[in-house]
Amino acid sequence: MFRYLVRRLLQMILVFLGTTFIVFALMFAGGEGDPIQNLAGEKPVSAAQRAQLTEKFHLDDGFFERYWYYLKDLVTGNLGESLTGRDISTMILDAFPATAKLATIAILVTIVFGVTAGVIAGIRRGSIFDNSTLVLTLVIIGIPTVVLAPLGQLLFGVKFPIFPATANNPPTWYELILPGIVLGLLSVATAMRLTRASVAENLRADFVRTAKSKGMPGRRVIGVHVLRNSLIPIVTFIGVELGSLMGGAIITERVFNISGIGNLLYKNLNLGDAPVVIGTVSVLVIVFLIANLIVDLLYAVLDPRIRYE
Amino acid sequence: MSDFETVTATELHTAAPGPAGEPNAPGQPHTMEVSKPRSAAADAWRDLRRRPLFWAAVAIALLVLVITAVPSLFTSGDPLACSLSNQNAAPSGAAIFGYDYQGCDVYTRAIYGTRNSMMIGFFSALFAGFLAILAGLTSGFFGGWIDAVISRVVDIVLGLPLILAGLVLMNRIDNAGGGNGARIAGFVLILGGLGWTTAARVVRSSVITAKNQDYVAAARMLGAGSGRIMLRHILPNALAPFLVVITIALGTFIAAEASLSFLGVGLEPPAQSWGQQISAASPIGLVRTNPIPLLVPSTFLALTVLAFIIMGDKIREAFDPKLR
Repeated sequence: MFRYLVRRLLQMILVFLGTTFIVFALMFAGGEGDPIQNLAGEKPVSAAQRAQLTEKFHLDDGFFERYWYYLKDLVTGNLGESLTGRDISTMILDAFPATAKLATIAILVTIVFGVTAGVIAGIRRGSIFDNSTLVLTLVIIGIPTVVLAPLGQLLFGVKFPIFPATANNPPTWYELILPGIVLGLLSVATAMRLTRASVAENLRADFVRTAKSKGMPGRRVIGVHVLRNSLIPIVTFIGVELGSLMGGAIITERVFNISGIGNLLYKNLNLGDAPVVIGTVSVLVIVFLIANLIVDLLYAVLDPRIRYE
Repeated sequence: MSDFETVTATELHTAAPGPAGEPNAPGQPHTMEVSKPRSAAADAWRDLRRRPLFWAAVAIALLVLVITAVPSLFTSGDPLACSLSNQNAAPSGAAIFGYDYQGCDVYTRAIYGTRNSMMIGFFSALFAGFLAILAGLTSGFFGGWIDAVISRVVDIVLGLPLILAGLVLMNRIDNAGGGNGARIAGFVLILGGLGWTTAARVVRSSVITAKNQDYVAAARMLGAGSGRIMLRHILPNALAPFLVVITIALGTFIAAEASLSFLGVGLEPPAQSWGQQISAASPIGLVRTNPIPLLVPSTFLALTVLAFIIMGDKIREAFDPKLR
């Protein structure tokens, strides 16, 4: 286990270096115009100021040196300032609660609806419930967030105004329910299918037959033996799903006007504020990597059969 | 798809007793003149043939392909002939879904948006598939340090969420100027370049399974080179699961184009695509007065993505013996 942990951490560092390098290279390669002049706006920049700023932002250094500075800042949590002079860490922290709430609702929706429906469908394979949820989930998987979000807003925010169509800043939990459901729906479908497949598979396993034949009540067989084994792939899935959740969150936040990280990223991309974009994307990528690491470790805890050398 | 066509042909001679395309009559004994067992693909095809959902998906996909090739078959209008005097006009004989805020014909625009959306999806899938086969085949076949390096590259690319990285990358292309041609090329490079990893893993694992088979050892003993073994003996084994993943990816890429265009980094007028139309029609103020311009391209997009995902899903089910 310990060796596995070390190896996994080393792998994660490698992936971290790779992804941040790509993000950095992209922003670096597409450098538009003179960054110092951009910072100064219309005002002329004196030679002394230029020299001082060049020194401050390491503009004369080579590509790899600048990557090194970027990495160092990232690790120490210093994301720098936006072009408008705001502290980027503060901007991200300000936007974080809204996105975290949104993601919480989405994941809750996934677990409550997806896993429950999956377990029922897995136990009653071939039933009407099973077949209809299978078709329904396929339809949900097929409809992209970019369609689902405006459609949900139109249906439940405008035509039947059960939920508010847009959110205030900061958003309340109630305002986030509809966007959270929209965001979670995609994962609900996949989670349901995964649970169904793995429940169905585990129901045929030898240990279930043994448990049944020694007279264990069906509720306990399913609740303890089947469910625990079936949840392992779901945990992995939810961790990996965090990536598409972030992509979906950008669209959902945009449609419902939620001032979260997705909206922050979107606004600053359009404003051309490269430092904020690099900072936000880097933070999101790190969150994604850490989530994947936690999932991998949970995997080993949940399934004692898995022994990593 | 030629794979499936050959399967039908052989099957008609060996297995199916009735005329082509008709299901076996119930109660009629099933005779097999040839003792050769059916291949996995033939089995899958028999399963697939009886699924209405699969045929519905195929029909939609074909229809969309025809629209892509000849949009003028479906509408006589001009997607760019917009007149503010038609603003938000109700559906009529001239425009079956009415006009949008800018006075453009909603239906005609959605029809003409098909080509760009499909082209981006198709070429991205082609590019992703090429990368996936290249990476999956080499890493699975050679193993060792080559495998280790390629697997780490896969890890790194997987660490970049598609929409997030696509947003940043497309923004660079946007800022660099260039027309919609450059943007379409950018989409293909970005979506393909980010979306090949799952397929590569699938190919790699099938290659690893196949390369330890006896027939591969036999081919090697007969003096076949690595290239020949890879292409003639191992790759065909990886093809079925690969096609499934790529079909689903094609749907995902079309959706990703729409998402990115929606976020404002995609195609721009006068170029048409579903994502760009959804984006133009989705502000809440516009939706309140006239939701049709939002609903029409959304339906086109959702149906197309659905069709490709259902096709992939049903083929996967047909190939998976556990689900039979």
